[in-house]
Amino acid sequence: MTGIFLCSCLGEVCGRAELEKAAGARVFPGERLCTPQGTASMAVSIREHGVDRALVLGCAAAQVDAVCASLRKAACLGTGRVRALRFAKRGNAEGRAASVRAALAALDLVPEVRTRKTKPNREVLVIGCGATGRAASEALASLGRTALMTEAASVTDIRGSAGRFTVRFRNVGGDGENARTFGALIVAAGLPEPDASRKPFVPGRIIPLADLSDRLSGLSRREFPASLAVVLDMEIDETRAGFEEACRACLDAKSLRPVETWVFLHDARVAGPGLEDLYDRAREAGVQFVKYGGRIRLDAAGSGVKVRARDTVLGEEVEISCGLAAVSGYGLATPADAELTAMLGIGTDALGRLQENNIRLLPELTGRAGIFVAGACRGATYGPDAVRDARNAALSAHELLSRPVETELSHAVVDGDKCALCLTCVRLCPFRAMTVNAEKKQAECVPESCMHCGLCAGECPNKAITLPLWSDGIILALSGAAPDAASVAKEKRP
Amino acid sequence: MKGGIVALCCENSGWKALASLGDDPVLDGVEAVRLPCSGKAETGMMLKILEKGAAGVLVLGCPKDDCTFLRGSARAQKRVAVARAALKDAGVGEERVRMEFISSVDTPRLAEAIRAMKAALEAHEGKA
Repeated sequence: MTGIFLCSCLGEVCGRAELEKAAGARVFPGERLCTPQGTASMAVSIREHGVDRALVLGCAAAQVDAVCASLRKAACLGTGRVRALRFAKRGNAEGRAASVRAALAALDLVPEVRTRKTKPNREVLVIGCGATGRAASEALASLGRTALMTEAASVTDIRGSAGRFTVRFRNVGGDGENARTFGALIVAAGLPEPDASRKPFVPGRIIPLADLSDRLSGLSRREFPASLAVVLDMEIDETRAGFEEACRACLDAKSLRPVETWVFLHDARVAGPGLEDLYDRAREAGVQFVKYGGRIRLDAAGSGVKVRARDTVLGEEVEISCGLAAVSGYGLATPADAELTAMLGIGTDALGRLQENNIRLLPELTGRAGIFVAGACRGATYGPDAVRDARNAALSAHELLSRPVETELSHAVVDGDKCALCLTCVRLCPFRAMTVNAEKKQAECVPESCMHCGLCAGECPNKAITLPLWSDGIILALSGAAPDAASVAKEKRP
Repeated sequence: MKGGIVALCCENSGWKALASLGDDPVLDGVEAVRLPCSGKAETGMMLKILEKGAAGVLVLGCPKDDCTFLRGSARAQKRVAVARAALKDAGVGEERVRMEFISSVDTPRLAEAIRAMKAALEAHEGKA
């Protein structure tokens, strides 16, 4: 039976008798339902009278959702079985009765939701064997969890969802494949090295900063350039990693032979342990830092390189000719490995790195549960940041896998008769919850991955997908438009 | 304005913003329908709600880059565009369906959006 709980704050607005007559359901008046005592008294009434759906009427808008959530827990009612209505003091009795009837109609359409417990696989796969990957594995080991490390290049396929990912690996030597199941994945793959043949590099003249020290140490006294330019922030603003590398490379160069050295950057990023000190040492050694704004142009001219940029301190264009220029790879917009991105099925940011620009994603999180990212592949190139990421990811993976996952089975349901396998939902689902069931020849939702957003249900061209707790009947009922009899009958069918 | 406005709200943004408007008279004639995400708002549903007598449908979603479900708002925007095109073709007035990206704390802008929509609907009714 459905019970209506009427808060005392509505005493003068609508009466119990009026409501009971209009709604045809039992009304339980109560004192201050938004307080914990009020919630407890509602829970008692629910248990005593065998109420299985509750409608809470009150005035306080902001608390209503929280009250519903705590009532649902206290009274052990199913998901979606508690609704709230808030009434303005001004409305008329007729309008209120209509709203109550609409809410009751919607409540009637809420199906029973079961839950299912699954035991996750305990092992974690760390993709990427660099410093970040190592940090993640060490953190996992210290939490008492086994981790397997692999290079991104040897992974050929990733399927499944949180708790049970099946990953296929290329065998060493290149013949055949191996498969293994993991509970979670930590992606610490780093970014691919920028290709030395891409813009702005010119062999021998404009080189990657990472190669600078090697190259200089191989030069004889006659070949050694008289002047050197290091360019940071060329395409994108970079992290402290590039700044640290530039300072060290300049100091190295100065220690080899006397060389005039400029560093072009947007900002000196010194907010890290030892960076301020490193910056001071570089300046004392004679490295000149030029803060530029906007674009910087590098032209290989004659035997050297011309660097042109707008100096924001002087407020004028500067032009410097030097023998050799080095460009920091962190300042170039390098997307993550496309093959890996596709296999993982997670979104990328505007630069193609492995994490979507979304404020709700904490540093290690991706759209998919059970896949965590750390370090350079998501843009955190500075060592300590990457290590912090790795530890966060390890902790999150550990937390996910340490207890059975309880899933509410209110996921999207696909009607096999209507599904035409157009794959719209499979492509669209931000959480990769939609998969193809080859046997049944239809799309299917993985309850453990489903976040109940309803994107698939909203987009399915054949209307084959429904979200049980948010079915069309419920939405239409709530929109004040009474559902016609046929659609209600259809909704009620299990 | 005949009929009210049905606001299809994402429960993470629009719903909360509407809730914090409380008793504000701007909500008179606005029926809020809670959805898990604005991405659940279907084109057919918007048209059906209009068919059943509502004057307008206002879809409220999270700001596009902050969508709780990552791409929900962006998809909703596309569907609202489809619904508007259909209404325009039918000669019913495309301003009857609108989408607003509102964060859960942006109540003043929400009130402004509702007022603007009411004004647009009234202007449209006057023309018709």
